[in-house]
Amino acid sequence: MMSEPPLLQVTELKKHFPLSTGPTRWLSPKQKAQAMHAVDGVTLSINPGESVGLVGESGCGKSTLIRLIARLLEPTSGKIRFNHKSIDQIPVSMFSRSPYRAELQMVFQDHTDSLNPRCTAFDTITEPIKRLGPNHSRSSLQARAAELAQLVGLPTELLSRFPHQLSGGQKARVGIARAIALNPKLLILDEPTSALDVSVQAVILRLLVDLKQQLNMSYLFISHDLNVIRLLCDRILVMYLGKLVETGPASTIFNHPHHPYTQALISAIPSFAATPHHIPLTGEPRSPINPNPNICRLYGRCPKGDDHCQQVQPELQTIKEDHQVACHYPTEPA
Amino acid sequence: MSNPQSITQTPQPKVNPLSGGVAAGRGRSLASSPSSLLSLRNLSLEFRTRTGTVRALENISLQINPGETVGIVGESGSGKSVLALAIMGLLDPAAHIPSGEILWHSPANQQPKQQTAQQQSATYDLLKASEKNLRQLRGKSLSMIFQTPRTALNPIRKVGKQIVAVLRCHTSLPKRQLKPRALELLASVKIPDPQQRYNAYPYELSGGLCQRIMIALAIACSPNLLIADEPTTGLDVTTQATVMTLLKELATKQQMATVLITHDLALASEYCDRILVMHAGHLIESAPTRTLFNAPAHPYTHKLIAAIPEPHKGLHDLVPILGNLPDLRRQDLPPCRFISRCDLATDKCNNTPLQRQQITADHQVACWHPLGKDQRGMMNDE
Repeated sequence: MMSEPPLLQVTELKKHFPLSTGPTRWLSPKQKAQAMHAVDGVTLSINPGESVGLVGESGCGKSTLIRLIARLLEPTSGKIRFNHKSIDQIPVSMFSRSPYRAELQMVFQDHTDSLNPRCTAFDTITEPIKRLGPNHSRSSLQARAAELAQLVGLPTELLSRFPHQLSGGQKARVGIARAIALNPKLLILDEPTSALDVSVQAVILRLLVDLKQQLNMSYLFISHDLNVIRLLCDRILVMYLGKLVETGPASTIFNHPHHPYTQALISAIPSFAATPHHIPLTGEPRSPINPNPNICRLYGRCPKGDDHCQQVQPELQTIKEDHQVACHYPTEPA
Repeated sequence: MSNPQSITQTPQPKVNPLSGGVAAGRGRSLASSPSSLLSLRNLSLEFRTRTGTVRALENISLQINPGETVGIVGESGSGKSVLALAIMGLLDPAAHIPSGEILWHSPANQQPKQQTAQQQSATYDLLKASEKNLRQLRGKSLSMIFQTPRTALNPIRKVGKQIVAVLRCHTSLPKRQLKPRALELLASVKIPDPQQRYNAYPYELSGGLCQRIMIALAIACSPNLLIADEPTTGLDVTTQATVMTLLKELATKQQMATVLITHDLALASEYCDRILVMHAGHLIESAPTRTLFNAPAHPYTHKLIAAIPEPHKGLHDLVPILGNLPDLRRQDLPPCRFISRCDLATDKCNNTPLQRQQITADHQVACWHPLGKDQRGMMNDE
């Protein structure tokens, strides 16, 4: 695994959204310089065939990060290498026509909103092939659509239906079929099961695992549901306010989390245990607008925070093989 | 039907003409007891649409006692939210209630201010109450937390003002005490720096904060019953834990009954005393939390629990529930709406009207083939 170069290598990726857009001449220089640091120096890599989970609270920059990786947003700075090539040179507007788009696909969060209501399932699934695929003939498209439908377990007779005629689980399948139509190497999944009921969720999760094996894809998987992440991912990245705070194999993160935020996150998973014992995070997160680079982002909510955390921002440090934590006081939970 | 306690001025409830239905087997336990706060009797609800009548709720009977936390769980489309809106009297005009009643047993000290002869008694039917009386009740002794706080709050009013508006309508506080009380409420839902947040607009606040504003609004007048409709969907687990703990604390402190509507069974199991399971507009099982999770009697409940990802479960331990909810517009809906997804269905399920069975004193199930201990084991092995 280590000898093989990673499929995706992201280095020091940053995205700062300026707070003031448009004509700004009446703003003071200080106001003009204000920016929301949505993603602030993220370095990560994904190996071929690996599935990586990304977790963190809402507003921590997960979605921005995957939009940067999927080349839907232009980063402020940083490098993205995909399949040995640097893809950050291709402008976002051109990326949809580049051959890399075929290898880097995304399944969106809301299956209803991400399907064109005027396109049938067939149109939706074959659209990427028409744009980027090698073979456009009507008959081959039909054959491919039928093949994809079978892969994702969508009855072929549903291909002529419009999104509003499909159930939630079926729409999820159409979204997945569209994303895998061009045999991507990396599939980015943004909360693929959050809009589904538990009764359907299990089916889709199994489908994703089977597809990964059949098509030899890598996954970058975002979910709020940590139990889902645990089932699907080999490695987990924990993000807090634009920065990665802990990365490691799934079992390590779940059983031996070292960062106080990860510990709070794991303890907050609802379970059938008789007495819930949550590690509370008090207070509100720090503002992501021009954050002080010398203060730990969790400072103020962290039970371990002290003066040192207020002076030096911790960087990711390796504490065990494959396990990195950005905290001055990494300890196992009591 | 015996109805000894309720002294409703409204016409006495008719015996339900739907001799079948879940109602047929309703036991004595379902008659309203003097201690209950809210009781629903054989509530049916339909939406008349162009494409047919959607029978969204059928013969729902339940009761909620003061101070208890009741969870209502089920898939989306099972009628959970409609039930909540029906209790609140906030239904869409297309909704039609052919039968049933929602009885509100007003605690002695909190009756509507302007009492008419109709409301002298402590019990009255919310379905027959006038809009004026409902308005007095809503927000004061009966309040609700809506699913999406961002859309439920008024986007062009400061959040502090929105809380003041509730206080002004429902309490007799003098004008100068309104703001201090609003600030107090903001602090009680653990909003940091209430003084500053008082003047914030909803768009300036994060999802978790908006949710807490919503809770502050709902508890402003110390309601007797709070309906929380998916209060934590869209919030991440850490915020979810904070919000739920807060709700639980407030409920305990103010002796407030809470109805928690959620599709997250694990969440319900942590915070509820009792859980009601709904499927396709039927209330199919009702049991104390522990019993429900350790010994589910309805096949659907059992399957629902099996489908939840849990720490000890691998991917192949998750058993999906095949099939979909039936189309509620169908005229020929079987008596048991779970029949097409059930492994245990027999002819009896298809022919005989569904009956509610009493398993233990506080455990009821609407199924002809409730699972016993041995069957649960068998189904797990499959």
